Amino acid sequence: MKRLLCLAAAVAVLSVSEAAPAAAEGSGAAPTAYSADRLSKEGFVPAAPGQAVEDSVPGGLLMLTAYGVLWTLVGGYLWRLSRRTAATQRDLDALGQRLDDLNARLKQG
Amino acid sequence: MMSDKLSWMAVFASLAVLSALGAVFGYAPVEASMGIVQKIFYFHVSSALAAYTGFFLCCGASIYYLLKGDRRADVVARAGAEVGVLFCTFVLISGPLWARKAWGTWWTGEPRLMLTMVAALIFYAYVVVRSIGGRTEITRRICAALAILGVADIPLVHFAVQKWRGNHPRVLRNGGISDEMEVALTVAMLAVFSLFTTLVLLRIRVGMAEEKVERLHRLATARGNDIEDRRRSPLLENP
Repeated sequence: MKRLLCLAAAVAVLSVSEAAPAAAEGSGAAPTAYSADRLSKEGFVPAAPGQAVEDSVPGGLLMLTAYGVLWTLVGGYLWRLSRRTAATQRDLDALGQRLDDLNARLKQG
Repeated sequence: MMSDKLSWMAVFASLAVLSALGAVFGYAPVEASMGIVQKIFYFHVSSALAAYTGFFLCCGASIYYLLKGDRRADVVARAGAEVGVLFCTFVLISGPLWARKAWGTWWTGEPRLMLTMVAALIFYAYVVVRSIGGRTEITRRICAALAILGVADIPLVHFAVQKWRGNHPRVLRNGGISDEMEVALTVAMLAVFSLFTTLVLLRIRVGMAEEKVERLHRLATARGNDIEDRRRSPLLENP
């Protein structure tokens, strides 16, 4: 079991290292100097301070919806797990009591 | 002990998530052409990687279960699948929300989208079959096979952008994000993976408790049968 968890951790680390941006590529440049060399044509270009960004589609609403969905999913899953935990605990208590009764009856013969 | 570790993990995950939200909204700059909707990127990419990890965990544990028959591996597999599906669902919802602004459409037939949908459908099937199939050996084995099938799709999802192109941007390898965006992405990944780990450990704990309930239920049934047999045996000997 520990091996499996270690394997999963290794996959996670590999995934992150695979996707994590190669910081070394741009390490020689100043942090905020976004030259054409630094940022490829299809990369994300930060807006200059004070620059008005054209917004025909309500991007803020789309973004809020996305984050709302994430926290709803996580919250819903946690709620479901807490319900399952409570139900399992009730079952464990009931079964423990039933086993005690059965053991007592077995001892009585 | 497990509970203590989980509590600390949950605290760490909460702090990491708060830090990530701070980095994404307070530190990373707004993207020039897409605007604020690009902030979906940080949790979208991290969640996709968390979903892959959950699916790989499910597949590894399923193979172990098929080889050794260890029920604990089956519990781990189910936890990996459920949490992976959760993050994959977020990816499949947040992606179209972002695409609506960035590409002008909710959905396209590009390879990465379609292959991600295929992987998600396979693992949705896994979760549904586990839920309605009951705690039987055949359900466990069918789902283990589904997990192996689903994971075979993941490398295709990953390399789809490189091999077949499509609309998905290739910003990570090409240095296409600014340093502040890199920092925010790294913090978001840490947050999502700590959240992922917490949820998986929590689900494993619930799964182990359910296994214990099943064991005790079998034991109680056996004890009940013993008592019934003892009650009947004198009658059988002296009818």
